[in-house]
Amino acid sequence: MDLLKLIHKELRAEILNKEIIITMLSFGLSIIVIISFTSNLSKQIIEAYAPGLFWLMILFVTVLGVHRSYAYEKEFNAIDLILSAPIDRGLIFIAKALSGFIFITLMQALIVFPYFTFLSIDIDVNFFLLILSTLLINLTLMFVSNLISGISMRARISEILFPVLLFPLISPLIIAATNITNSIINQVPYIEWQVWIYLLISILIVFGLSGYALFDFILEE
Amino acid sequence: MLHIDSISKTFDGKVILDNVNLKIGNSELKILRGKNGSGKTTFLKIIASLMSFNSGRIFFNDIENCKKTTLRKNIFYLGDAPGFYKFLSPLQNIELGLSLRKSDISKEKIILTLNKFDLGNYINKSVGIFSKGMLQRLKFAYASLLDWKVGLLDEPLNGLDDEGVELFNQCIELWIENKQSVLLVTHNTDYITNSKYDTLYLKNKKISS
Repeated sequence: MDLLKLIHKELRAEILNKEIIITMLSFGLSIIVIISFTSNLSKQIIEAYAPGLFWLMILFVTVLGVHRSYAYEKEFNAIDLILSAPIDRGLIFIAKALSGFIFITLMQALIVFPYFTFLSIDIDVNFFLLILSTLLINLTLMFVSNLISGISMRARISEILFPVLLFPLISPLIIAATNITNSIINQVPYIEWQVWIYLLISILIVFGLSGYALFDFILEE
Repeated sequence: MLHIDSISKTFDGKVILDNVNLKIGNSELKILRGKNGSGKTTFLKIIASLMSFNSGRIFFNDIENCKKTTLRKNIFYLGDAPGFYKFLSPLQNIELGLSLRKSDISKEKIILTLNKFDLGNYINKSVGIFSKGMLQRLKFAYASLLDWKVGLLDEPLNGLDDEGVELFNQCIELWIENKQSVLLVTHNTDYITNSKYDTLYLKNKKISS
């Protein structure tokens, strides 16, 4: 129940502010426009790089969204309202990660067609597999980035510390995401890229469990 | 009710609190004074389980090492910062706080309480537009609706007008009557001079009376 209340608070914050989705969407669309109008590459090269560029764009967009989600907790020290309540603080982490997952998935749904249209990429793929793997990548991305954002939240230079800590830690995830998407687009048999799925699941479990267990200590001043 | 035994706290090798002791019984109010940076807020946050400490023990109702959730339920901290979400209204902030504390107070009672604290016209306005004094009143309204045993109030008189101070005094009297206890940090000399309650000093990293 506490988890649902906390997720409801996150969603209500976004409905009232519209800051996270609008920031992510405008940034993502700008990147698409810049790439499409500045790259003079052949269709084959663009198709080969498209999954990597996509996940790189999602990484930058995630940094903006997750940082904003923690920034409003610091305004007015609003997080004290939640921290002083007798709840399991691990749930704050889960709620932030799950609401971030909803925002990033919504943003991707709005951005995926402009992305492939502007870059003139034809995709004839197994959409079910693509959506399923994207959901898994999004969830893992949110668990990792929310744990790092929670750790850096109390720091004076959190806006710098967050990406500096996040980028090296998240590189394996972005590599896995790119390989998975590439393999699905090129219709590579699952057996050849299942290792990346296992890697993602491992990252999800490690960061999910450590975030849940450690968030009480992380949020303590 | 609350017994703080030899609490010490160090920040980056600098000792802020050194074996600090304090006892607060039922229906007691104690005023804590001290210079800026003497560690008053740190002390309150440690008691409220919002901050860790290096050594010492906290007893609540004679029980040592109570679960943090038990302490957070019974010990209520009202910080110097507003502690509310800017984009939510007073009603939404209070409803969120109460629901996380599993308190099923009706919306009507919340509105009545907000009216009592002269915030009736702002029930659906965002807290972001509130003045310092209005935010203080909102904190008192929230504290009045909660069920706690020990209240830790950090500079609650900041930004309050005379009417606000009067409302605060009424709250204090009601809380003491209800067997609740309060540890109050303030620099307001008028309040301290006119107060009938004990005053403690946090000086040289220790508390003295």
